[in-house]
Amino acid sequence: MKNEDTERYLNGEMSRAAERSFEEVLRQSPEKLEEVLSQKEMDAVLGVLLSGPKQLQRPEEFRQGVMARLASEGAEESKNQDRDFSKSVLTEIIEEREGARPLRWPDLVRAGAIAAAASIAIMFFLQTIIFPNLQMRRPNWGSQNAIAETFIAEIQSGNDAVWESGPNDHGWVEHGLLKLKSGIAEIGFNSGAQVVLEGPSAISLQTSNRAFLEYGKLTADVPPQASGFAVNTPRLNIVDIGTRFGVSVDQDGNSELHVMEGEVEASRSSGNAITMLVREGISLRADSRTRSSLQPIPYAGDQFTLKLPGNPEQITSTPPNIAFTFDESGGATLVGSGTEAQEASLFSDSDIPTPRRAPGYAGGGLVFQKGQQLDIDLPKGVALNEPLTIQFRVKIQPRLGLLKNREILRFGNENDAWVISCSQNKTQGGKGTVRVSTGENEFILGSSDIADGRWHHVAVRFLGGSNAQLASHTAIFVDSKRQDLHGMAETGIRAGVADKLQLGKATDGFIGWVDEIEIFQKALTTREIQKASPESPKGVEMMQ
Amino acid sequence: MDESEDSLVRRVQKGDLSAFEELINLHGSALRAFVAMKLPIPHLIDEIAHETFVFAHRHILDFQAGTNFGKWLRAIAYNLVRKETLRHQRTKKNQEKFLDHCLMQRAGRGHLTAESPIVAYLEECLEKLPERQMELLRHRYTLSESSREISKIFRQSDAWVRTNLSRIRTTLRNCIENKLDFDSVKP
Repeated sequence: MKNEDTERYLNGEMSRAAERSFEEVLRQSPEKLEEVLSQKEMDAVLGVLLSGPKQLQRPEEFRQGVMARLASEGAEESKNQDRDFSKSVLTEIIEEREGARPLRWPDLVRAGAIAAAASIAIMFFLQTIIFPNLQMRRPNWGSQNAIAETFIAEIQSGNDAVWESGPNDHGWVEHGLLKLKSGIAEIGFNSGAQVVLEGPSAISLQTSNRAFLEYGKLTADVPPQASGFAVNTPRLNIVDIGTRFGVSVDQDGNSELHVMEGEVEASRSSGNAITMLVREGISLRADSRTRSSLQPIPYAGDQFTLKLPGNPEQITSTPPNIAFTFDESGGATLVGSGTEAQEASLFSDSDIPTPRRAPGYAGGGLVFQKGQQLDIDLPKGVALNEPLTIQFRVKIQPRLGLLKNREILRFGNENDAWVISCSQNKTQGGKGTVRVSTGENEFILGSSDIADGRWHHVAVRFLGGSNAQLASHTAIFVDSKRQDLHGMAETGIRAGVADKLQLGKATDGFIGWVDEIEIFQKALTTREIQKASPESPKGVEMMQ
Repeated sequence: MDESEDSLVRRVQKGDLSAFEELINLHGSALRAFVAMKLPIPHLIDEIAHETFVFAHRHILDFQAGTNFGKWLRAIAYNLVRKETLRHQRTKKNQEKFLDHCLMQRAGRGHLTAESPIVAYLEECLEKLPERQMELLRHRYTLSESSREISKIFRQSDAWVRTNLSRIRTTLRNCIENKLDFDSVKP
């Protein structure tokens, strides 16, 4: 066997047939095989010692990779991940060096902890015997089914966008694969995350807060309300923590991450996947050369498209058709500020008492006591079965006992209306959540309790369109976070025009405060809804 | 053990991450070379070396300052390689690539232990190579040039380049083994 052939084999310079033939010789001759393996050994070591950049990382890159991983890990959490391995390594070293392992204080602590855990376990066991009906409290949804999210994102705009598969134009889309052949498209996820996709790309929309980029390039802009937005690729899992980042994937699945603002959590999608915290200005690559590590690479965030050319950075503000802020300095007249001018009066011709002015969320508001109701006539009708968004601020005190649903707002006509209530009927489930109905037995429930004595921003968005249904085409947002929905609502919305807005209800109305009511004949984007509610539940300011 | 290294270890044990970076600088090349010699599969070398340092940091309090840190690292790497060979054996698909499979089996036989100072011997043997041979190695490993590119620089044939690279590696191997043999017989 010639030295030259060995070298060609090790360098991968042989044809497949020649390689098979060479390997057959090695299989027949253990001595020749040993020689080749030794050559391979020396080849690899020389590659490290003489720092071959194309084979392996340069020393500084290797060091940076290790340090980046350590900086992102919590010592305790990571320690728990490989106890079995640590035991084998340390036992081998210690036993080899010292023989019998001396008793140390960690061993005593460990023994004490085991004894305590055993005692607690026995207590729980006895408790289940003595009190078999004791159960953890869980949210009670009664008989209501969870409603799967149907429309999870909207194709909002494009720049010479040519779709190979997906929408032909703008519009709301369901789960599925979108292939952008060329151009650029902007996608708004239901969670509020905005993605600029550059063709050629293939992206699978999985939920309102998760996507899988099979190949191509995207930039994600994620407000705090959508924190947790995840982009996965064949080699990377990325979870946003409120930031802006770019991801590119080549045809082999090799993936790059560039963090432009804030932080993300990133990990390999297979192998020994340890999560790293990646900060602004840092870029990482995951490719087929390594199974577990993420390689630092030069930052190239400026090569990603942050927004479509010609689009302003700010979200275009759509004026509401109907709006009331209740900020008048006094008097009984309530002046509307929407495009369709309205006026209402706190004086009522009927015997039904009306609400009073009170401090609102911002400026003035209205306070409703038991049995109080305010009717506002609408001269021009807003269609009930077309795209629609209703949003307002409300504060409701918690109430005990079995109660009926408390109506906050009714928008419609004598026969048909959108009714937004605070669900306080335990048997129907979802106590304290937002309830939206368009008929007696057709309703959906949100998931957050708003009857807690605090101000909440509530938005209900209906996409409209032919065959639109309450459950599949409606989203509820509380404090700019999209709600998980439960309920029973599989019928369509009847055509009709609203001629009245009613706040509160003489019977079974809510007791609390209301402010900043806006109604749009349009399905606002999640971003637009979030802009109207700049404070997330955690009080974080929305990024502009 | 070098005093400055002892000081670095103690600083790491007190939570100083920057001191660990210095330890990587001190031991990174030697550890990677050890892993390369133990399991010379390119995409696994840095991965195992990386995991070795991460493991070492996580368990730095278990290391006894004042003892041989490099040897401790090699012991960790040794076990990581063993773990990898066991994983390889469990997956039949991995055995389809002949050379990698043979390398895995060889690594699993433990022909190279954490105690072996082979990498240090290799560095000594490299220093003894004639300059022309070192130049050939630099073109091959530092500049990652192909046999064809190197042949043009040296004005020789491709076959000459390949043959000489192979011979140089054999020379280095023999040099190391001579040193190991000498160690085994010295009092």
